[in-house]
Amino acid sequence: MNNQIIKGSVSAIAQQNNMGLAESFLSVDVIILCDVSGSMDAHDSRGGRTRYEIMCEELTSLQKGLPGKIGVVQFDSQVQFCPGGLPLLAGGGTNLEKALKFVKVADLEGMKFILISDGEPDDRAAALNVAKTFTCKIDVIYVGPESSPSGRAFLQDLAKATGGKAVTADRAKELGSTIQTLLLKG
Amino acid sequence: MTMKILEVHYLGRTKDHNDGLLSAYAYLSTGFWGAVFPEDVLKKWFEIDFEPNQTQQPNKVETLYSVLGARHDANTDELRTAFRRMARQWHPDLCRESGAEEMFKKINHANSILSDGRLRARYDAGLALEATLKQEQVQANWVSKPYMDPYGYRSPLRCGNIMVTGVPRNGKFVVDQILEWQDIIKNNQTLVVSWPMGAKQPLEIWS
Repeated sequence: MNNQIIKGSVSAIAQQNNMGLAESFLSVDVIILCDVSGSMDAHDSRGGRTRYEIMCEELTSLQKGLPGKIGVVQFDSQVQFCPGGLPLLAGGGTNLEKALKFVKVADLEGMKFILISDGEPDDRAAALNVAKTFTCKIDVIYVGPESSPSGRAFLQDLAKATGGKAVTADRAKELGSTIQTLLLKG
Repeated sequence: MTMKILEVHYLGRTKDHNDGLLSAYAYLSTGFWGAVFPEDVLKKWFEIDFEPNQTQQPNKVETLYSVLGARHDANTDELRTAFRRMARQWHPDLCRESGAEEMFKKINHANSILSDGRLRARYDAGLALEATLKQEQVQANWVSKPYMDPYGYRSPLRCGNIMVTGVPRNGKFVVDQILEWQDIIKNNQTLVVSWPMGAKQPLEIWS
């Protein structure tokens, strides 16, 4: 996990209001699940930067614009809550099943989940089964290459299983606007 | 090991009584400081997270539950009872303890969240996520308010009929576990005790 605390993050709001993090979590409406597996290090985004770098840039911008509203969780082989607002590129496997089980605790009325991934989890069926238990919708943003239709197709299936939307972020180039669109459309 | 019920009329702040142990002396109905409550025993009862033997670690945190002196798994009725008890003990009209008004506000704030099912569920989710963070991340991310009081830990409840286990030592009963904590009630009135600044004895009010 990145120990940096960015503006508008859950930790930043807790600090500002002199409250505990759990109390700060009361205002969170969106949990963004960030895939930080090895493939997110691919240098195929704008300016030759990695998908991970673009994701962090967009997360920073989003939390600044929606202070206290976004909770960030990162996953590769492991899952980690990132109250400071930014994930840390880890580079392991992609245990989406574990990540979904991790955030299931926040599957509460009024919560929204957004999954940012290139859609290549270690166990697709297991991840899908956990997703089906969610009462809230899970929207997905595909950030992988267009030449990998199976990853995109899987994420579409996952979104569909929860009644969520699936969008492509064109290799993370328009991640921020894509998330804003998902949030605005509810 | 002995089990007994102590009628505690006032529980002080914890401090080191030259025995290397942080503890609070309890003023009993007999008019003597006759019992000793170690800090970790009190915090365990009031659900303040702590690591035994690591008393200065930053994960000693105060939660909304600990403000009400309630368990995390308390049901609605238990929470309501805990709130009423705590609000009575810290009501600024009854309690002359320093910081009573601030504590009363904290109690009301905690109750406003925990008595709302939707907010409580959201808060519990935050606690669950927070609990997954490692120690160094707790420190780096302001996960919870560390419980730090330069004057020692002050128990949210200061009086009560308290069922405990413990052992007699040097003329005092040293508690090692709290089993039950009931208000002291006589003639349908509940005892509220505080120690006004500079007073030689605790102030007892029946309300």
